[in-house]
Amino acid sequence: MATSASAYQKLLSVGTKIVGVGRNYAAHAKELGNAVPKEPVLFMKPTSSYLPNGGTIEVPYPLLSLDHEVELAVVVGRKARDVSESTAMDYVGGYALGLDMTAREIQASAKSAGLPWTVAKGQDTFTPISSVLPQSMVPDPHNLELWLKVDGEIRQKGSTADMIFKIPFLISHISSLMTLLEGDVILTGTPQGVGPVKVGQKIDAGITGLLDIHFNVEKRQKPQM
Amino acid sequence: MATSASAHKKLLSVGTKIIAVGRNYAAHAKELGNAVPKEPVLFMKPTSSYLANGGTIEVPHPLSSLDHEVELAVVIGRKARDVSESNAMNYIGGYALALDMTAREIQASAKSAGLPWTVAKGQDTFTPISSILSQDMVPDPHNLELWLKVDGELRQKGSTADMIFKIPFLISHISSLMTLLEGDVILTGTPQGVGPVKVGQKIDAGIKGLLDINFNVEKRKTAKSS
Repeated sequence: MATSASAYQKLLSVGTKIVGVGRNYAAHAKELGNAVPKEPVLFMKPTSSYLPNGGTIEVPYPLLSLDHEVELAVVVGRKARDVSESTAMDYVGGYALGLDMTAREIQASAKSAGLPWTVAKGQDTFTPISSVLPQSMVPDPHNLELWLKVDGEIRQKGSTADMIFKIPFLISHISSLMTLLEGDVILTGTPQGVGPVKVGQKIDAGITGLLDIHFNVEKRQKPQM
Repeated sequence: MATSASAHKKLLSVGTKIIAVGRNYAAHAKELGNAVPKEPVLFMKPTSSYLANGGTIEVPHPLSSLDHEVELAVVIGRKARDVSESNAMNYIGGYALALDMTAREIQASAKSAGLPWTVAKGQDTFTPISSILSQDMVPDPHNLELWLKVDGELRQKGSTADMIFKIPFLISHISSLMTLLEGDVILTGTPQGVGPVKVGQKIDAGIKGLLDINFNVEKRKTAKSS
């Protein structure tokens, strides 16, 4: 599908949802003491949580840090419902690099209480994301090296080859539950090495050979009411 | 703000998210064995889950029922971020009646495993919803009687006066976490009486004196894979 560069940039603003996939890398599941799942763990992040490259991640009061999770994002290219694995890649509109910023303590409390992950995952600026790469620039999404540094020090490095549930399966599985629309994003999970980034620190992350992104981390300032 | 009927209809299609509030009626928290929360329990449902009035709720294989939860929906009228409780009502674009359909067994498994509620709450047709009522049709959203029947038999009846966290607080609280945009919907919780509606049954629900909605419940048929 021939699409202009600006059309690729618009994809994210058209999208209606972000579906996150938890525990999709075995070593990451293990590092957080979680079992490797039999089917994908799915959660949602609102599109209000997007933060474009170069922006400032806002740590909400009273937290001093958020956990970083670098992920390959699959951008849906057209409406997908009950899509088979064999045709799933036809529904991809592009790729991006995203960070699934997570308030880890809030998520831990939610988990022990059996409550949703929404507050831990869905606040404003909690989904920093790169611009969209067309499929032609990413011939094999299952052979990409993802990396993330905090203040220049490498924290995460992994290969999308290590995804437990691959992209065609994820598109097929998710589309069997909910209709995916153009611009919707699937965050495909994070490799090991997640950990806190503190207020005042900087994040650099990238897909080796393709793109990199950078964000500052600051305390969220609330306006005077 | 004077808005035409078609502008009201468009509000739902413009919206970017559905934020739902769990356990916002004390008797409902109790009936499911849950503690009354100190702050609102928030979860998301995707806009792909909307089902317009008169539609068919689809029960996914291998389930034979879904739980119904009738709720007042608040539709946001303009961008809201860090809104104070005293100003919150100025950000409302209208109201609607919705059902937060829930795959209860899937939710129960998710809760014991500490996992998200997304699959239990977010599948297609899991948010049946009425058309939008303008604010002037609803002078007091905290004094509405909500009701729901299955096959003509009353199952839920409650008053929005019993909401634990009222609408201004919900708008203020949610907007302190995430920016709300025009057309975004807040589902404000359900009164007691939730329970299963089975494949083949019909749901009628309403806000007394204002509107009613109806839906069929059928098995979801999966399309043959192409």
